Amino acid sequence: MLFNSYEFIFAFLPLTFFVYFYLNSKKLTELSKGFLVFSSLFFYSWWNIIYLPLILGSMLFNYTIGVSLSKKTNHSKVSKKTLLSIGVIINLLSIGYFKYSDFFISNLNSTTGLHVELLHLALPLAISFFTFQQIAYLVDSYRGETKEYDFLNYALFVTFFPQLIAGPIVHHKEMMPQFANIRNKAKSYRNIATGLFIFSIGLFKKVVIADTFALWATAGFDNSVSLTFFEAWATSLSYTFQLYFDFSGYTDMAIGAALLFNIKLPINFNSPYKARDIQDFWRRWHITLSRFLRDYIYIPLGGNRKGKYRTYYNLMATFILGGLWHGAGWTFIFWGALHGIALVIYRLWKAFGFTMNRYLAWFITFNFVNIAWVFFRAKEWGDASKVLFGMVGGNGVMVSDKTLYKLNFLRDFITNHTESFGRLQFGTSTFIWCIVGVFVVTKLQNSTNISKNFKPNYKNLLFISTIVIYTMFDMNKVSEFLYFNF
Amino acid sequence: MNYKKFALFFLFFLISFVTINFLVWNLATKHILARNSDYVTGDLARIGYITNLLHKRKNDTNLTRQHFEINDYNFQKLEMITLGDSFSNGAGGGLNRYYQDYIATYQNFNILNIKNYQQFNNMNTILVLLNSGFLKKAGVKYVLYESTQRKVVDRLTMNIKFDTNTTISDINKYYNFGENTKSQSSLKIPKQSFINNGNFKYILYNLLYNFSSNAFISKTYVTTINKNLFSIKPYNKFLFYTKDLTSIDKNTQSNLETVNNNLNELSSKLKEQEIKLIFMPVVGKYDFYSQYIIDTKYNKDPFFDIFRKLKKNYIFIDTKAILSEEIEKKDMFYADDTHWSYKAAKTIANYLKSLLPPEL
Repeated sequence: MLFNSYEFIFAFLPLTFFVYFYLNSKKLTELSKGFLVFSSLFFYSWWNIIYLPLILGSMLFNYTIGVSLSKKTNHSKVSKKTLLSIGVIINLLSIGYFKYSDFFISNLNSTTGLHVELLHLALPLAISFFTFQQIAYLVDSYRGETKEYDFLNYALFVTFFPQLIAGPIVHHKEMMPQFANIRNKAKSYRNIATGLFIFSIGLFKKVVIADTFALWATAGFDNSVSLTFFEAWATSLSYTFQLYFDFSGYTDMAIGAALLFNIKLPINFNSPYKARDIQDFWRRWHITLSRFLRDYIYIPLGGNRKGKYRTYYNLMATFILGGLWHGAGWTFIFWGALHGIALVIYRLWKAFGFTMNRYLAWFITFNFVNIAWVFFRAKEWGDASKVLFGMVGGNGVMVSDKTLYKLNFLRDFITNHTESFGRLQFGTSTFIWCIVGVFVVTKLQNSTNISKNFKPNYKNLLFISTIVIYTMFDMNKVSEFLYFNF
Repeated sequence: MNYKKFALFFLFFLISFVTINFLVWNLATKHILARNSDYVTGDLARIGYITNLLHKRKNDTNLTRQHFEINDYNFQKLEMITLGDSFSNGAGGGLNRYYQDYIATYQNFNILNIKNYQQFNNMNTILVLLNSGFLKKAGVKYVLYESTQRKVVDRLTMNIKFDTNTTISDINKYYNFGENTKSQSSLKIPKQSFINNGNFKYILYNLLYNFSSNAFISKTYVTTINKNLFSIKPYNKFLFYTKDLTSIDKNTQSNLETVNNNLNELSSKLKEQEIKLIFMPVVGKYDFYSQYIIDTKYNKDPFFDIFRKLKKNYIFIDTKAILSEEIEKKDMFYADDTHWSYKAAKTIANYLKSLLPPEL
């Protein structure tokens, strides 16, 4: 079930909310918690019930190991370190089997000439999120940083539906106490109003903005053979904005939905496209993933404690693994490596004491991120090279006849023109929206800041009512072109 | 305002929003927006949110011969290729919605209705089919190029490359001829939810139509005519598309001469391979019925008056003149649609019968 679906907004969310607080009002706190776990599993199974046993098994396994690891005295014959290793390995094998086996087999086939058949497994929903969340739990249990909670609390920590599908990747330290806190069992109108406000903003970002950019990005990446200069830039910028508004919108919805239940999820985005260097970018983009990579990969590898060359190595390793976490493909790995290299260069730059004009710094950072996203989005190398080739003008420049008349002095450089602008779905409006996109992500407040300053007044009521109407209609927009049936 | 009031007001707003959508959908908009593959709703009624002038019809055919769409074509010998816009694609719906089927039946022709090649425009598509030798190889005797009147100047004055070329194998590969895939609409229409912006527009447009013949923002004009030319009540109401009016300015003597010159040149090139060009500009609904419109504030479209006087070396189908002779038969165009009906398609095919020798 998606947050931006009618069944979630008008059925699942209100029903879960009312039953949960009704049970709490009757002092049935354990039952209410159980109901929330059940609802979350229902939410998960809506996509495909076949993977329900997987998440249940994963939770039971990790809870059992975690409880053993967190015990102060170890009476078992197996050492805690061995137990942790078993736990982590089983988790990695599980995600490896479902997510990376075909990638591994296809690489094995191409390097050895074997013809091992691909497994074509459907990727279980949210496996990357709940597996890594639980690995973190095991590591913290081993370090003695967890308390003993019952299975119901643990199950809620893993499955709590607002964060289950796409994060934020939560830490048991920030979630378990909230689930256990008795004060969170009573409904809070402050949290309800703020939650609805954030959820509405997120819904608007996802449905209206991201899904519009998605059309243009898909047209360029998936539905075209070659791209001219403007088409290629429109394609890459559209994807850059699509990804941000999609993911941050979804996170806003998660934060808003969780707040209805008095649970505060960590922020995940802090205006990442305002970043003036790549390190700053990673402090603002998918913050909870960066935190996870730092705490559970970079620092255990030695972080910056073992000399500068080892630091660069650790950075590269962390980002390559980060790329692989995002998807089983060489383009993801390459994307991760690009970011790793950028961070190494940034560190060298700082070490030499160089500085840069802040506008130029923003421009370089933004364009680097934009170009790197091309690899992230591309289904294969050919897609990436097609877009990049177009971006450097490899296929010439195409504009509309109307624009060509206005830009007569550029006629020699413009190799082609057409009745309507571009050969894809691009109109001039795509470029206008890309410029608006740059303005919005660099100049306006982000939704976290807007929500922090939220006050219950008629202005805000009108604001969210308007964006909700617009979004609801956009979720089911009636197309009006004349030849609809064809 | 406190948090409780804010939350409750917002909840009340959401419930009202859903209720209004549910009511408007079931009482009105469902009849024009609901997806039903069997029945056709006129495009003008749909985009103008007009529910009281629907010409209910079902897609059907009772002719002995049908044309080929790209998916059906398997390298048969062809007498005619047609290329054009929605009129060539049967967009009016209802009985015998393709004029090509009437021609195929009356002339005993194999006809292929082709779409644009790659991102080429109509003219360049014909040229690439000609220059590559595809038309000759397929045995084509006639190329019928159709365009709605309002788009003729846009389509036939710019970006024409008379030397454009490719290989026959590229063409076959692009169109995927011979794959025998079942004909199907390229656009899958999603199921419409009862919450949609159509409900809002229905209320808005129907309110504004009281003050303006195009509701200020609608693309459908609603006017009155002084003769009963449609079989749908109210008989005197007449709908037409806004671009029938906005395109009038383009139909100048000079633009239409350019169009004609380009068609003459195309025709000459086709003749080199013994292929005849038939040009069929489909009269716009507004122009066709304009003499009957009571409100005279709209401009007259000079398209046919200018165009029919120009010297041509191709077959010109004067749809306005031909169909005007039959206008009394009612429903030459569907009342709720910008497209013509089977009656018009049949009349045109009958006219062609007198010009083209049938295939034995």
